[in-house]
Amino acid sequence: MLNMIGAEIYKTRKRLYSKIFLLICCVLALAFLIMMRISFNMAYSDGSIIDVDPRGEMFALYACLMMVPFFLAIITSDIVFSEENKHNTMKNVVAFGYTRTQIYFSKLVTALINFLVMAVIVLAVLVLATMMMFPCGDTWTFYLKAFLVSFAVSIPLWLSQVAVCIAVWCNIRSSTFGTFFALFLSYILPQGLNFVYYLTDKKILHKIANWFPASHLGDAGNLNLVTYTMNEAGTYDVSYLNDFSGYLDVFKWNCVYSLAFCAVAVIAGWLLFRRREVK
Amino acid sequence: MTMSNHVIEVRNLNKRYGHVQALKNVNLTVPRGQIYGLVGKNGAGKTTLMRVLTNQTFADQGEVALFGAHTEHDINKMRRRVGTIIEIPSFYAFMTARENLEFYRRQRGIAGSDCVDEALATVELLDAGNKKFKNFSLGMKQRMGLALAIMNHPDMLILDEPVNGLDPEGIVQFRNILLKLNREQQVTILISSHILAELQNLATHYTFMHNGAIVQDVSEKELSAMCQEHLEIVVDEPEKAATLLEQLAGCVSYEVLPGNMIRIYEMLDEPDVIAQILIENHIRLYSLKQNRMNLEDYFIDLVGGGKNA
Repeated sequence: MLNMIGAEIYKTRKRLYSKIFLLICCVLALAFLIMMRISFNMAYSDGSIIDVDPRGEMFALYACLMMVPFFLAIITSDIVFSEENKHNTMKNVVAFGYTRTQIYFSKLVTALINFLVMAVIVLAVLVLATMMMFPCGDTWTFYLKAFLVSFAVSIPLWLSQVAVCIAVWCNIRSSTFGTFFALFLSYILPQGLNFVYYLTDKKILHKIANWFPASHLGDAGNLNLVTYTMNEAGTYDVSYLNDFSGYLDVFKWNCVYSLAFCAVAVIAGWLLFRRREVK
Repeated sequence: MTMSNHVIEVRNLNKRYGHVQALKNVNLTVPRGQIYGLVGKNGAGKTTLMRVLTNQTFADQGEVALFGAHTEHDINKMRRRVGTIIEIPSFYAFMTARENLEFYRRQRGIAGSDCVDEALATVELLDAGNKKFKNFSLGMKQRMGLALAIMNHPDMLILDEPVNGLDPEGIVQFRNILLKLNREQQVTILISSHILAELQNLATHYTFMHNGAIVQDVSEKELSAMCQEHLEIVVDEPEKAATLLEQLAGCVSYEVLPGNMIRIYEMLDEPDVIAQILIENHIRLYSLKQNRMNLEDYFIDLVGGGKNA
């Protein structure tokens, strides 16, 4: 199976799609940063930037955007899989004696690796560009640390999306329909369940929705690491908690939900794919 | 028959797609070193059989053995000794020919990248190595399929309509490659083709399929004996002509075919006698010629016409 994974990685590197997607992600990130920088310039054009930490604020903002990679995971998985159904190349693999199990898991591992590599590249571009473009105050290292920890604890949630995509595409010939179905399964369904729960107060729906990784995308950003206390002067004292242990609990539960969801997706996808006829 | 002499053994294979029985109790053995031609009309079951052999599809019933291996695990190991072309060869459109073969070389764990250029050279695609597969003509795609099939030096080739889209020169080249592999490396070949004349230049055995079943399995020598020379006459009253030939000339080995045609397998040196009998009995004789049946005629006869012998 190592040969298969190595070959898949070779193929992924050759795809223009991968390079274009990575470029678009980096360009969009930079465009976003440029817009924010212009906004900062306009907001603080009178020079009153003393008590503001633009760099820190940007990292704080990123920590609240942990759902974005969840959707990008669909595209990184598509990079690995999309040509198979279109050109029916899987027949060359099964004819050589590779089992459908080997094919399935090699695609899954490649998609996971592909996602992680792309995520790290985009993260590096984002962090470096932020540090270069935004002036810093005293708190940016704190927010950078919080952002990186949020990023790390959200990885299991994103990887579960990769697993769902591979499970769906291995069994549904149409990539377009498969994409929508994967999105429905992983994101729309839990949101729908929560919505009905809010309307009907049926707690079981919320409990079920909780087992979907998408329901926890905002958990890392919800941790209160910054506290504001009103002082005698009527202003707020800000204290920064250096205790990140709360993230461990988030990480633990993210892993539990993601592994459970992945296990269901992988097993279901694999069992169906084992009997799939390659036409 | 010992297992080790057979590359492929198929027993009672059945496959149904909905209401259509694509394979019906198919039994086939392909001995080592032979070139087996699989002959049949569209929908006869040739491609389905090959797809079962190459694990693309699963039989509903029956057994398959490859190189003596019977279990799924062992058969999958043996598949690495088989090169295949099933329908139109499939490759990644965004990669060049060389990159596509390199991908499969890595996937198959073949050491050394020389085999890529060797395979391209064998099928005369070396100059097109850096061309993207999406820009290939149909003939080039077929040759690319052969390049992949032979890249890992297989002991057996399973080829489904491999010469589709090739020009006459390409067909001859393809044939020569296959013959060379068979003669020099004893590669066993199972090949299906609609171009029966081409198959006749290649095969050592023929398996005829019709409506999902194997109707006949003959060697090339046996087929030659059966595709015997004959006289072919076209008359206005074939039934009356046949009766006259039986009564007056003692001719019993003949068959009446559509289009008022009669094939006579005896009296080959006496066409004048036959003509005289017919004319004297007021049978109009439109044509009389001497023929030898080819594979195409034999096949059409086998699945369509009837014989009186």
